[in-house]
Amino acid sequence: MLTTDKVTKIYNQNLPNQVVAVKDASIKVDEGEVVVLQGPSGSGKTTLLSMIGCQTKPNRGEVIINENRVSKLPDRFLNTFKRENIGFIFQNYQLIPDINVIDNIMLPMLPSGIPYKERIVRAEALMRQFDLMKRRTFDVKNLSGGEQQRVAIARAMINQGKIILADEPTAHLDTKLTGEFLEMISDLKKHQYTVVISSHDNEIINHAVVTKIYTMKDGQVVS
Amino acid sequence: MAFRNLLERQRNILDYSLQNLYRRKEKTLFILVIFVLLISVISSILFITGSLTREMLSTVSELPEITVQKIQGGRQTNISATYLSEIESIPGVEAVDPRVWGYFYLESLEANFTIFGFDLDTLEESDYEKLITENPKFASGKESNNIFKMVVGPGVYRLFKKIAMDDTFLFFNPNWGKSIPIDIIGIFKPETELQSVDLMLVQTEAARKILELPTGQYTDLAVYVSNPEEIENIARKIKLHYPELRTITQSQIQSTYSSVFGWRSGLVLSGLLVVIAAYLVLIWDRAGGLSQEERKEIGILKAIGWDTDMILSVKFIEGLILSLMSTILGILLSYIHIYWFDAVGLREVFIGWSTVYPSFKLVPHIDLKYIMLILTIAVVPYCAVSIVPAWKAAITDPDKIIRNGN
Amino acid sequence: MRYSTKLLMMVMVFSVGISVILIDVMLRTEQFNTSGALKHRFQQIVSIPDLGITTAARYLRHYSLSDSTTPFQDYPVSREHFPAGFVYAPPDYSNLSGRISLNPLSKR
Repeated sequence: MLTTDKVTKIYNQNLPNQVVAVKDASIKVDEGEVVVLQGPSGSGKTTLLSMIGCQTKPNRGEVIINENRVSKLPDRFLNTFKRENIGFIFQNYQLIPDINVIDNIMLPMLPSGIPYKERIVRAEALMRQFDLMKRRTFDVKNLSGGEQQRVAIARAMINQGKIILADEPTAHLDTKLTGEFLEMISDLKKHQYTVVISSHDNEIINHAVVTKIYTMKDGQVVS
Repeated sequence: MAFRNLLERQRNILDYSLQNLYRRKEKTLFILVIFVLLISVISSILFITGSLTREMLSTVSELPEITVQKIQGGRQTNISATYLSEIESIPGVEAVDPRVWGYFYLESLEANFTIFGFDLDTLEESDYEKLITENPKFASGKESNNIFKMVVGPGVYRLFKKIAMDDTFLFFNPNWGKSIPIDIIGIFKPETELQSVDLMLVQTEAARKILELPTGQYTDLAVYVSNPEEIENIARKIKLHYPELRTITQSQIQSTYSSVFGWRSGLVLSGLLVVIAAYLVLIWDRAGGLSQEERKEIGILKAIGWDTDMILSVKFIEGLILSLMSTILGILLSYIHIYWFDAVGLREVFIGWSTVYPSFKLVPHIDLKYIMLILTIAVVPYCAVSIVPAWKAAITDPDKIIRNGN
Repeated sequence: MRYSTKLLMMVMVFSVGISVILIDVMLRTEQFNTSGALKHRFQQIVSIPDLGITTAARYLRHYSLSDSTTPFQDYPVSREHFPAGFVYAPPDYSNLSGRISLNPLSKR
């Protein structure tokens, strides 16, 4: 369903401060799997996840999602593909702080021109699922860490893409909230979502919901 | 994408742009105020100069084609009657009308009046009724016993009423021995106020006495030429034959009118320097690039699947709405200021100070090309500088922006 | 209410405002044109030009007929124009008690 074929990412190519963030990384993720990319800081997990999530293009190699060679797609089609298939949960969530919860959640739907009423229906369904209805008109900057995480997940799911990518989702969370997060991932798995998480948190790595683990070191997949 | 979806997408762009403007309320308000101030002052100046010029030019065609003055020592002096027949004999000249007119300064009121010698008997009944309102003092039955009579402008009447001299005015000069009483039999109608405000239309004999103009001498000559093509030729001929005479053609007066408010406008505009400077700083700031926060926001939008062109559309619409609405608002406010509130504050600069002050309503002068010019200057650069920095951020990998933001 | 709906309402208000202004322009212009005939006839009878918007002095009242060389000029070729006292009246020195005189320059 999702494969990377020897992808390489080089930042500042041909410049004195060149960095090879990922080198010849090949992974395979099947539908419905929960995969973890583990490794220390700087091992290239985030970069690999970014390439899978179409946030950046690899210098070499290919990313193939549902038989689409996404790394070769022109920008316009890539954006549409990304919207329709992938939901990304960023490190630090990357929500827009001055906008309220429901508007943040609906943001990914705006380019598709989905009718307003339908957008509200979808957003409210997710807000109910993640217990955010009471906070719907609050600006995101006024929410707690856990609430912001739930908003980030809801936003990632709003376009009904079946692939969820999460970059260090529990980096700033306590045990309780990490547990809550893992419960949500279990729920996603039950609904046939494909999840790829990059993390060095042992609680996630060792959790039963994880089906496969890839270890990264110095930009390469070692196991 | 289906048409309906396309429409909804455009509406979403609009919604998001407006939301952004609302989110940054203080900045939006500041920019709005600068724009509205700048545009309204510029529009006010254009409106007032346009209206006054239009008022002036409206009756230029009725003026004599050539006005002839005698110049002595660089200054105008009386012109002798002998020139009359000589100029009349120039081919193409329809008529020459010698004029007796000048000024009378009333020191006690610090008011300057224009005296124009004209024999009221020659005025047609219909013209009299059209242009003049009878003085209520004489209309109510009082007899006009004095030899001399005059019709005055509304400004003169208002002034004389204040000093209770609104039926008979005594012209006095120590050299004359005794005063000259003149009955004010009529007042020019308000429609002519701009032209007649300080006017005293008196019999030529009386005018000569007041202006101390001896018989056989006139103030100047009004030359009427039927063929417009001949005006310049005739003016040239007059100057050639009589170097001591100066000619002023109708077209010269017209061009004077077109430029008379130019320097006053410039003066007010230079007072606008502060606002112009603020506008330039605004443009510069906008062109200089987005804030870290704005750049990060663009990165997030790209990361969650927004197209580059949609992000640019948002920025463009933000700039467009702000600049367009504030420009329109500025123009509307300046219209209201000039035409509904009689240009209060600005009027004095353009009209100046005077004891005899006309009260009049300006006629709106909307020159579409100036409106378009204002719109172009205000809107286009602002929209352009809204897009350019956003474009730089929008084409960057969202990955890079988000990482740098952490 | 969506922001675009609010914008639409604002646009409608602006449109009403612009319509009011346009109607006002039409009415005032009509009034101007009606009185135009009167003003034309006046101008034919009283043939001296220039509007009496500033009447305080000759070079203000009848500027188009004023002398070509007078004080307050920027340069010799420029036609006469308004001097410094164009917006505010110059101060009144008429009630000064004595003559204004300058002390003769003394050699050091």
